[in-house]
Formats: sequence, C-alpha cells, structure tokens
Amino acid sequence: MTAREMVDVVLVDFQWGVLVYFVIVNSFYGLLLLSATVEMVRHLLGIRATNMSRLLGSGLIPRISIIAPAYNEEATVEESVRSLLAISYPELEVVVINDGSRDATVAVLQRAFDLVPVHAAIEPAVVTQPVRQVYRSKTHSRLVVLDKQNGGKADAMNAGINACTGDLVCAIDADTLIEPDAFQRLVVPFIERSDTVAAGGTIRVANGVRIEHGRVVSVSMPHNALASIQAVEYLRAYLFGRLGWNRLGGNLIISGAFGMFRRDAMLAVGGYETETIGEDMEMILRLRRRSLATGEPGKVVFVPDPVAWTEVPETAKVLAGQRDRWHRGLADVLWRNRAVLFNPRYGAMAFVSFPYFLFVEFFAPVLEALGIVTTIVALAFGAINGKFALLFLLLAYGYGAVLTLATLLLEELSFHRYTTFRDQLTLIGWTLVESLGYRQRTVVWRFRGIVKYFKGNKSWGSMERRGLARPGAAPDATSATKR
Amino acid sequence: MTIDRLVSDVIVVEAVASVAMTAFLLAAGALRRHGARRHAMVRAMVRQRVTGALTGRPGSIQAPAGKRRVRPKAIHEIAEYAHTIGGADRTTLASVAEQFGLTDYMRRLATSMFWWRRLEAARLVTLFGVTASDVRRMAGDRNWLVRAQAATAAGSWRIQSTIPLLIDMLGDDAPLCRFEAKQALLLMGVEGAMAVASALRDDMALPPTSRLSARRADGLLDVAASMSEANMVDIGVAYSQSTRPSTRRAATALLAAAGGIEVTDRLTQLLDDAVPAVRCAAARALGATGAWPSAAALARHLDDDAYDVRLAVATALQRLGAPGTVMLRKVAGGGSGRAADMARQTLDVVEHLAPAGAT
Repeated sequence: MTAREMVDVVLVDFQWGVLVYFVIVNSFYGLLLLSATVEMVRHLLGIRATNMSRLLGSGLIPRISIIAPAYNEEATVEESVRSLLAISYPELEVVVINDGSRDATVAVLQRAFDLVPVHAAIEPAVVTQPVRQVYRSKTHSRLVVLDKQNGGKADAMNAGINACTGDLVCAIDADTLIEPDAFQRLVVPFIERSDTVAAGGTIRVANGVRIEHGRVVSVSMPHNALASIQAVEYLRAYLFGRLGWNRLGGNLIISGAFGMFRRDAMLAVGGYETETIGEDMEMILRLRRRSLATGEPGKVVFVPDPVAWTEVPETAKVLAGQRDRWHRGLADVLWRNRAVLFNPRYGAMAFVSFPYFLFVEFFAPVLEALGIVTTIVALAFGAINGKFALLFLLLAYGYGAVLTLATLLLEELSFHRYTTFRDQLTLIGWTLVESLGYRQRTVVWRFRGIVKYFKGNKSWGSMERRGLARPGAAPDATSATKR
Repeated sequence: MTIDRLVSDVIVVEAVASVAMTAFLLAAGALRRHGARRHAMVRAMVRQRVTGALTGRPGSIQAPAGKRRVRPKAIHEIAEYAHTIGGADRTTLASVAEQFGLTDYMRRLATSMFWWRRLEAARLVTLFGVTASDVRRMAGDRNWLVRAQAATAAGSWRIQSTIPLLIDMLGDDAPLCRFEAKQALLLMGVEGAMAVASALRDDMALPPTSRLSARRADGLLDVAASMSEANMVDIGVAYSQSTRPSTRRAATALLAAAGGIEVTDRLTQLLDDAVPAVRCAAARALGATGAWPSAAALARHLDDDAYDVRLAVATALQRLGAPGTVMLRKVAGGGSGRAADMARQTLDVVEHLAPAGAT
C-alpha cells in the first residue's frame, strides 16, 4: 500500500468514526428531548391551575436571600436592584456585593437606596477577600450591600453567602431580570422534597423584549442576528438540555445567573470554588458528590417555568469571549472532578451525566473541528466523494436542526412566550441557518477555549452590556464586566 | 447499503421530519391564536353570567358553538373568579359552574385512572366547595399531589371534621402534604388549636415508646407556634425537654409564640442548649417575647461560638429596646472580638435604620 493510499484509508476511517460519533451524540440528544418532553408534560399537569400566590400568605415558607455580585455595573445596577426588591416573596433579603468595582457602582447604590455604612460583623464561614464596608438602606430594610476587595465572581458570591441570613440562597447575576413570580415557582421543589439542595430556572434572552419598571411587558425576538440565534440556543439548552437531565441521572449545571440553593448545603461544601471560572457547575458537582459520598440530601432539579431574562452579546467579539470562557470553565470543572468518571460510588452521575459532559460537551468542538478539516482535506485528496461529505453535514448538522425544531415545538406547546407568527418564523429560520456558519464559529471559539485552558488562562474577558432597562439605548451606554 | 442510498435516505428522513415539525409548530401557533379568540368569547360569556349571578341581573351572551369543548373551558374560567371571591358568593359561582355541568365533569375527573385528572378534580372542589367525604377520598389517593390538595381543600373550606385526618397527614412521607396539612390546620381557627393542643397533651401522657413520630410531633409544634395560643405554655415547656433537637427547636418557637413571663426562664435555659439551632431559636424567642430581664443573659451569648446564634442574640437585644441597647453598648465598648463586632453592627442598625423586623 502506498503512502497516499494509507492517508486515504486513515482519512476515510476517521470520517466514519466522526460520523458514528455524531449519530450517537444526536441520538442521545433525542433521548434527552424525549425525557424533557415527559418531564414537561408532568410538570405542566402538576402546576396547572395552581394558585402560586397562595404561598405568599404562608408563614411556613423558607426565607430567601438573593445574592447579586456586581462589578463595574453602574449602568445597570440601580434598575437591577429595584427589580429584585420588587419580587413578590414575603421572606426576602437582597444582598448586593460590589466586587471592587472601578466605576461608580457603590455611589449609584448609595444615592439610589439611601445607604448608610454599618459596622461589619460577618462570620467568614467561607474565606473571601476582605469586606471593606457593609451598607444598609434607610428606605429598603431588605437590602444589604457589601463593598469588598476584588476577588472575582465566586469570591463575591461567597461573601454574600457569609453575610446572608436566608434558608435558601438565590445566586443571580446583577444584570439578570427575574420575573415577579419566579421565586414562588422556584421555591416549590424545596417544599415538595426535603432532599432538594439546588434548583434552577430558565434563562431567556432579554434582547428585543420590552422592559418597563424592571418588568418584562412584551416578548419578541431580538432584531440582532447573533442575539436571535442565541435565543434559539437558550431554548434548546434549557428546554431540553436541562429539563431532560432531571430524569437521566440528574443535572450537573444550574446556571450561575439564576439558581437557588440551600445555604447550609453550600456552606457544608465550602462555598464556591474561587480558582475556577466554571464555579456554578463546580458547585453542583461538589454538592452531588458530597451527597452521594455521605448520604446527605443532594437532589438537583431544573424547573422550567421560573424565568429570568438576561442580555446576550450582540457582537461576535464579545460572544467569542463568552463561549471561550464557558468552555475553559467546563474543562476546568471536569478536570477537578475527574475522580467521578466511571466511579461506581457516584452512580448514574459517573456513568451518564459526567461522561456526557466530557465526551459530548467538552470534546464535541475538537471532533467537530477535526471532522470539518478532514472532510475538506479528504475531498481535496479525493479520498471521499461529495456524497460522503454531504452525509457528514446531514448527520452532524441536519439531525441537530431537526432536534432544535422539536424543541421549538415543545416551547410552543408549553410556555409559548414567542406569540406572534413572525416570531415563530424567525425562530424556525434561525434554526435552519444556525448550522451554516454560526455553529462552526462557536466550534472555533470553544476550541480556542480548550487551547487557552491548557495554556493556563483563567481570565474572565469582557462583556459589554447596553443595560436591560434600556433595550433601545445607544451603543455607547455600556458597562463592562471584567474579571 | 451504498453511500448514495444512505445519503438519499437521510435527506428524505430529515426533510420529512423538518417539514412535519415546522408544519406542526406553525399549526400549533395558529391554533393557539385561534383558541385565544375562542377563549376570549368564552371568557366574555362567563364574565357576564358570573356578574349576572352575583348581581341578580342575568346576561344575554350565549355560549359559543361546540359544547363539549366549551364546558370545561367555562368551568375553569369560573374557577379563576373563585380564587378571589369568598363566602356565599363562591356558592353562587358554583351554581353558575353547575350550568356548565360542573358535577358531572368533576365526577368524571375524580374517578379517572390518571392522577392529573384526579388532581384537577381536587383543585376544582377546592374552589367550588368540598365535603368531608371528598377530603377523605382525596387524602387516601396514591398520588401525593392529590393528597396535598385534599389538605388545601379542607383548610380552604374549614371542614373541622377533617382535623384528625390533617393531624395524621403531618406524618405523610411527602413534604408537600405535611406543608399543606400545617397550613390547613392553621386555617381551622379555635377548633384547630384545641385539636392540636389536645393531640400534643395526649402524646405527652404516653410512654416514650408509644409517642408520636418526630415528624408528626414537630409538625404539631410548628402549627401550635404559628397559632400563638397562650394556653400552650405547658406543652412548649414539656417538649423543650425532648431529646430530639428538632423537637426542642420547634418547642422553643412555640414558647416564643405563647409568650408570658413564665416562659422567660425556660427560654433563658435553652440559650445554653448544646445545639446551635436551638440556641438560635431561644434567642429569637426572647426577642419576640420582649423579655427584657433576659437582656444580660442574651448579652453573654453575643460571644457564642455559632455565628447564627450571635446574630440572633444581637437581633433579639435590638428588639428588646432600651434594655437591649444598653447591653449592646456595654459589649461594644468592651474592646474588640466577635461579641463587640456584633454589638457594634447592631447598634449601627439601631441608630441609622428602622427597628428589627420592619420592612
């Protein structure tokens, strides 16, 4: 066999390997979708006609502390805190942590909420960077503001956990907009099951929605192409990605932008890990590992109807930074918890969810990138014909598009937040064209994340925001999140 | 199979699936929008009938065509009103719903083999009226959501003959059932309080091996604490000596609710309990009862090893008013350390902000 023939054989065999990989992955996605559908039906039948506001009158509901870290958020922090204080829940405390901002975040809060400094006597149950000052509001007794030295998001969250007094802690991003009844819904898993330690709700894309006085008044698809595609991605990620895992070995991710935890469980595992940028997933893994190792409660659930809205990047540069960071976070968390993989001590997590995150979520960009490159090379060398390349595209991307369409159907049959015919067509359109360029770009960004991770890069990058309160604001009305 | 055949098969399957999904999606959206218009008609009709029934002036809007589909919609629409209407008007609402076949509809749902239909029936009887036998039937359901709804229904209509059943439900395996049973007992008023007190007193008289489970006893104590009945002091004192920390904590909350000078000594003793959660509850209780003679004892616990206890003690001192503030100043002026830190933080709050508990 000549060298050329050997190269051809290797290329063709590799192509078949990648094809089989995509078939397996997409089939697993199909299984997740099926599981999500069953969960959704069960959830909707259970909550139908439930009068959630009845909980508000109960004296037996748990106290909730919202912890909202803020870094250089002067453009959005006042509106965000106002929306948090407007949440309908009787036993609520809002703890905002200024993580050493370089802008006027604290000054804005002081002015807006009439803050006064109080002596700090916070138990450092979790070690954090020093808290410089604690503020209480003269006008809103439920509000506590911590001003601390910069230590990153996880460190700020830990300071919040130390300072808060709730039975449950809700971790959110300061720029996330929580729907008014979201807590009444998110607290239900903790009332229904005594072993629930964490629950997450759905994050939806706020770009394009109309917000007045901290509340979403009408929902429509974003006008920006990148934001629109992300709206499709978020639906897919939450409606079948997270919901499906409730039945298949449990969730490994509760979004850092909107998740609720039992405070005692968080303290028992030592709070958030500050040395990783995937602190939300890392926390869940530690909670579940501790539960499986000690027999302590450790149920992690995703609930689809509590909704929080977040602004997504509208430029490729910012989106690239975000996806690169997410992938580095994933790599780091998987590495830190490598002892879970195929370890019988950790049950289904060791054999289903953890391998999924490793072999599908983490390795997918590597294999997808290699698949694309080898397809081009093999075509150029004549090792495969056009039909084979087409088969690769159909199985890698066409199958995925069908599953995304099924997710849109699930959304339409359940919450149908995008109500107009135009929005439906827009969603379908972006689903079909997502694979033509956008997905390949995310592969590059995530691949870059892997490379950076192996180079030891742990920076947060930057995230420009226009501000949720002003969806139509000029592009220069930005704030930057940089860690 | 050749590659050509495989490619063409995959194309066909994916194309058919995509077209079917898209068509189904658009059709579902169109149907929903059409359904919304139809629903608006049903809503208008129901609104007029309900208004007519409540004011004695019947309206003239007729039901849209398609009785089979309109009836459940109308019943659910009337149920929406029931969330905000109480007393005799709810009975009027039930009579309007009866025009749409409420009884038949609920009977069909209640005997269904599917839990979600039984749950729907349970929710409807909660809104339109329930009998003790309905509650008993639902409380025996194998689905915990239906059982929990039984408690909600019993509490909502204050059916006092179901109180023993609710007390039993405090031992249910499902936390939601226990939660709803507590809520329902709280809604039962004096009869509920008497039944809870009686159950706890009966239990106190039994030998340890025959007593209520921790779950049920703690549940009863939680309910008793929320009832704020002064005549339950003896119960609180007795259970505060339990060997179970959860029971001692619940009993401490009961003592706080019962109040009175006689509980102060016992609560002060509980400040030295081995379990932080109990000490915390005792501190909160002393603050809640306004027991100013305990200020000195509370101040000693500003140096407690547990942060939660120190915080609860400081808040309690704040709630005691002047005697508490004096103690806080004394501790704050006594140098550094965690007790002084906590005292200073509380004094800052006292001086600058609203009193503890204000929102």
